[in-house]
Amino acid sequence: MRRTFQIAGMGLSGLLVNWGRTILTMLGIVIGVAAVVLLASLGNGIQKSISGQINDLGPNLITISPGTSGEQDGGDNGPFGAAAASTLTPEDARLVAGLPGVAAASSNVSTVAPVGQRTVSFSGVDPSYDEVRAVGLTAGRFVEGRGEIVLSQADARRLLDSGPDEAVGKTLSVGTPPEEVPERDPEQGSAQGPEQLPEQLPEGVPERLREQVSERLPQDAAPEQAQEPTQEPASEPVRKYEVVGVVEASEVEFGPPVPESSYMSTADALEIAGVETVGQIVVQAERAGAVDWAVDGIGREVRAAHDGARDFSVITQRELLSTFTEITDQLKIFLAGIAGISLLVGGIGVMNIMLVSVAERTREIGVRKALGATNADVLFQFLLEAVLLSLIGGVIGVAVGIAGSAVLPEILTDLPPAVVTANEVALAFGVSALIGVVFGVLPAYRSARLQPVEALRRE
Amino acid sequence: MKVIEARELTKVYGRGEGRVEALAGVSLDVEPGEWVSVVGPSGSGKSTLMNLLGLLDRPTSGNYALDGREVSGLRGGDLARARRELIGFVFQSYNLLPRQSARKNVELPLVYAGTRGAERRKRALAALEQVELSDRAGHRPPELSGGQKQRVAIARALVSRPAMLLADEPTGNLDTKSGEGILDLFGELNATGVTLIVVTHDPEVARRGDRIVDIRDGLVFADERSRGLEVGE
Ligand SMILES: Nc1ncnc2c1ncn2[C@@H]1O[C@H](COP(=O)(O)OP(=O)(O)OP(=O)(O)O)[C@@H](O)[C@H]1O
Ligand SMILES: [Mg+2]
Repeated sequence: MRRTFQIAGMGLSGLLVNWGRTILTMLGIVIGVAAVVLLASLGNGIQKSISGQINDLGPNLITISPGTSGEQDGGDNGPFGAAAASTLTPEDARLVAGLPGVAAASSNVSTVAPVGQRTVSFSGVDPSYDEVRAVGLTAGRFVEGRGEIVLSQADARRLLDSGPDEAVGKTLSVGTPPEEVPERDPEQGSAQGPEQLPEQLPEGVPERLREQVSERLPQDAAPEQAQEPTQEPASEPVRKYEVVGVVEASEVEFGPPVPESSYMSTADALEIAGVETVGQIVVQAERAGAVDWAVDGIGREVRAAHDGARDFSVITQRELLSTFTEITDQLKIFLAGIAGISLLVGGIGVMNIMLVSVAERTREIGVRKALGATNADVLFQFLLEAVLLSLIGGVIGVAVGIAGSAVLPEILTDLPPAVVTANEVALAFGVSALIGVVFGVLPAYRSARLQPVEALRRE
Repeated sequence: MKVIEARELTKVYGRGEGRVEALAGVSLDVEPGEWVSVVGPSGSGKSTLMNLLGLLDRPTSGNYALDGREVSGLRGGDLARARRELIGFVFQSYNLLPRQSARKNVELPLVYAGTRGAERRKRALAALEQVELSDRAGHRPPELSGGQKQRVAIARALVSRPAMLLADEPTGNLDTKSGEGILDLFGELNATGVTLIVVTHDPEVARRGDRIVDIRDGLVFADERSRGLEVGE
């Protein structure tokens, strides 16, 4: 017992005296553990961010898209199948909204409209869209009728150069003015602007604002017209829209782009786009259990409304989710592979440094044995050293790995925040410690079994 | 009782083509307090014999008693204990731990004997004083001269007060003056009763011993009293 104690003390002082070798060995373990923790945590973060975004869509969401695809003909096109010319109309949306099991339904028309010198993407939706997709607003309210728009934060900044709160209540001219407008001189324009469109501006918009907006109109809108030949000026009269709300900044950090949209009413969007059909109808079922029921109703009733033509497809969020799950599952395997490889590489690094540092101590083992150390004494000393190095190196490695997981996504902003899990930390630590101890002791064991002369003969 | 009683020790290295019979049957008795010089041509088996006597290697056959106790069959803890309690071994190449101070090097055998720190330090310093190196106790081997290193190694061999000191060419790496110092030290130790077995190539060094054992081709070729010879001539 006392011998053990003396040998332990000597082993520890040996680690301090040979600090160069100690630090080098520990560094190998630190790097191995830190790399594994870092990679695993980054991988977790990516996966969590993707599945989080999918789940954010909500489990009760049903999407009606034009064209046939999905369940009916075997899903060749997948949930994102190429849509034929749309056959869905706002009336379909109203029909669906009244079906049993459906909480809310809204059309969704995407359009692009010039606003001043800029081009803005709008989603034309019904007021009920907010119920279906829970659009978060930082200021104001959602679109409730024609002549109203809700801007994304980015658009509010771009168009009005203002924060969310100041943007609400402002008026914007959306659409391209008729040909004549740019030819008018500014004085005339300013006088005629308000006259021309009085009914499109909601009550209560201050006169001053109306003038401001219309003053900019002729000059600003002219270049837009030339740049956007696809849009028909005739069907796009300039209208004044009141900004009634601003969308909350998206918290999406990574993954498939979910662009922040600006919103207007379905009717306005149809008018600007010059079409009569909507791109999509989004439906919120009353509850998860009502999804299948609602899907049946939608299939039946919309088909009937379309004179029996199954010219649309109904996709539930669950189906969409399962597609994404396949992707994230593959990602998971891929990331697990990377973590596994880094564990292997880290482990080999630890093994190597241990093998080298112990192998060059064969002579020392010979000296110790010649002076009266037993094999057990030698093994005990090397075990103690390996355990200590592995533990301290492992703890530092975990700390470095966690710190790196916190810092790296800050530097590389495209990365989602890393998610450090106890399992992976324990695995990285455990595997490195085990390898460190095994390969710290194994060569020592081989050397200790030699006769002292043989150990002393080694260089 | 004899310090060493070796009977028909043989040592064979390798087998087949590479087989070398380094010792072909050496018997040797050493009385307490004797100083035995071992001489012989290179490759004759001197080091092999010393390693067997110092329990650093196993004989292929033969028997060996130390202080009247049969040690050729010892293993594990008993063997380690015999090494640290009965034998002090001095190597030609010192074999000090390079990163440890002289004192720590001298303490090593006591660590394995389980001696407590304070006692260990005291005895190590005493041993260093015996080899006149008290002022170098804190120095590490690379900071010492060859002669000083060999003195540290001798202090380490003496610190557990063994029955005998085995030295394989202890002055082989040293200049004449340093070598003289080591031999004087051996003389003093021998005068206090320490049994010495010293391998050397140098006839001058060999004559310091009471007895010269000449090894040739793994056998004892001659074994005679050196002082008696000198006196006789
Ligand atoms: N580990 C070994 N493996 C094989 N042969 C060995 C080994 N050690 C020694 N020998 C052989 O045994 C014989 C005796 O060697 P030893 O070292 O005992 O000689 P020595 O008398 O000490 O020589 P020197 O005076 O040169 O030191 C030599 O022929 C040598 O080649
Ligand atoms: Mg030799």
